[in-house]
Amino acid sequence: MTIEAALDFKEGMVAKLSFKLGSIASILALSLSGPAMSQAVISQVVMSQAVGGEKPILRLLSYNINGLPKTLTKGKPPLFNRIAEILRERRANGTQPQVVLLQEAFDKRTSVIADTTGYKYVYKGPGRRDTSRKGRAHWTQATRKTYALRPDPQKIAGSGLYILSDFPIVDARYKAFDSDECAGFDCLSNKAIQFARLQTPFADQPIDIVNSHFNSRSSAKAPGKLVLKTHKKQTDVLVKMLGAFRKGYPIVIAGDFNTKQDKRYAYFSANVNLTDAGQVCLDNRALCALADGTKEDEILFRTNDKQFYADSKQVRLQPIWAARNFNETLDGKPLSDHLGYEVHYRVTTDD
Amino acid sequence: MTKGLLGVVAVGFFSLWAGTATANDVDASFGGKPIYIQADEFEDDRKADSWAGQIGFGMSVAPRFVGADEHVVSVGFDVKISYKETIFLENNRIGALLYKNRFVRAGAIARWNLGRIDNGSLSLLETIPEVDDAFEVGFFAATSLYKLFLTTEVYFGATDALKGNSVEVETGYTFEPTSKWRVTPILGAVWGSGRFLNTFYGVEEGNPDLPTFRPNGGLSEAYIELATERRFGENWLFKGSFRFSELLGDAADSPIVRSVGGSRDQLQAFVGIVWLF
Repeated sequence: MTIEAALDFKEGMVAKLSFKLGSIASILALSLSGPAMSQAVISQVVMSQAVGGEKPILRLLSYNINGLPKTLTKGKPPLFNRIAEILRERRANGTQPQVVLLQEAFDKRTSVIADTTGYKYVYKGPGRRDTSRKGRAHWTQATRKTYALRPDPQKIAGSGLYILSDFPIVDARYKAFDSDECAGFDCLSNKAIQFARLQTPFADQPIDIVNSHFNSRSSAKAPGKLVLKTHKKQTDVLVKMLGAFRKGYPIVIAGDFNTKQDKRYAYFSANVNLTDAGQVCLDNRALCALADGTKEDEILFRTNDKQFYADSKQVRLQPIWAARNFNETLDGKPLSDHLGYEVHYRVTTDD
Repeated sequence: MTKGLLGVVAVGFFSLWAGTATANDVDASFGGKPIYIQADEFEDDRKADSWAGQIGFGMSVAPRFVGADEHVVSVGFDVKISYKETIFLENNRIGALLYKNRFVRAGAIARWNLGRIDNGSLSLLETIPEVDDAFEVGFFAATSLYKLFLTTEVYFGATDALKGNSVEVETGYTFEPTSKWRVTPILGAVWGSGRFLNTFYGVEEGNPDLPTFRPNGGLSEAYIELATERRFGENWLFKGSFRFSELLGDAADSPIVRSVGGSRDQLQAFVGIVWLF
């Protein structure tokens, strides 16, 4: 059996690989015959298919690509191009994440990732102008000249958010954080939450996808208490908007939530009340494999990148594979200051 | 919104098509330009108030008149009200924001100038005429980048009591030592036309005590200010502002300023409690 045959999704076939050591070994042997990086990824993904058995697999990648505005950085386009190239290589082999959530895609040149990787549906934004104007910028003196006060912080950049999807996006909403729901330098970008409803072939019910990039900590350069308070506000906004968006469908929330700090994670997980895919994966290692080279703490604790999920009454999601990928370097430079966070979910229905 | 609906309708069509597909059926060969989905913002029930403002009460310190050596401590008020972040009234000034973009805010402004009042407490004033209250009109422009701001106000005398024009420029940067405490050091300067400066620093011919003096226009004042706020409740804060000014040029050379009752050094301060609404 070749890899291509194993991944022949066009005929509606699901990889029928038994979870036998010999099969995996043969796949790995085959995978090493091509370019090392791409084939390594492919072999890893094939393993996830093997773990997933005959059920359909939702492959979802969340990736903070560190695409700051080009005035702040230089030498980035080759890195963006390489990220796009990896996604193209994976598509060519049929192992691409069907859904990609990007954060920090501020630089216009990051559009190469959305435009050249074969994703049919792209949800970008909100942009710089699509901002809420309620509240008040925290850094202005309340008692200075009235006209000098900025009720709405200046937005130098948009949200930097993208959702790339192989599946049709049948509903797309966003919520830009209000002026008093950001702290420090983060206010200069139009931080927001993306909500998308995808009609997948896995189930009659659509799957809801949420992408966001929450307020950073030290790099925000704002007082610690203010930053923590702001993060809680953003969590509250997410919870509120989830209440407005959700219609009982399964959901995956992923992104750079900046929840590495215990207090942040505790508040976020308690209020959002969804299941941490990393936690489930580590607790059920028989059902969920980690990609080669992925460390346990990079999945759960030592990371700001997270994926949370919830089932619906009819559709269940089960993490079966998790990876911190995109860890290669190009001319000695890492592709981003974050790793990709990819989780594969086995989708089962009552049908 | 229309664009957004079209996008969703178009995608809805694809979704009907996709609904018939089998599991993991993805067109991996798709290589064209993607369909960019237009999204709509969630409606939010949170509203910004039309009216906003503050009332401050405390102690203030100011020179008895412009260029005076004697400073007076008095009860001070600090009142600011704005409507829809466009019309504003703040103490002796009123204005309207007429233009704003990402970096610039500009509009019309008017100021009630309190002139110079002789209350008889300084013998010097017996030979210096009072300056009546005056009304000035003009415009303002402000720009900011994050916590750095720069403001300019230009005034033209609109009454007989005060002729000429003046320009005030100031810049500052707000520091946030804690989430409830802000400190803003400010640098500023005032430029006045000859007629403007003559109103406050000129001495008319025939004065028995002071030589005749007609100032030329120029930079008349430079100041450094430290403004601070410390919140102690959602709508309450302590406010303190301390401004030290140095009179310059012809203003500093004025016989009024150089006299026994005058001084180039000027102090203005306010310390009080402010209620925000």
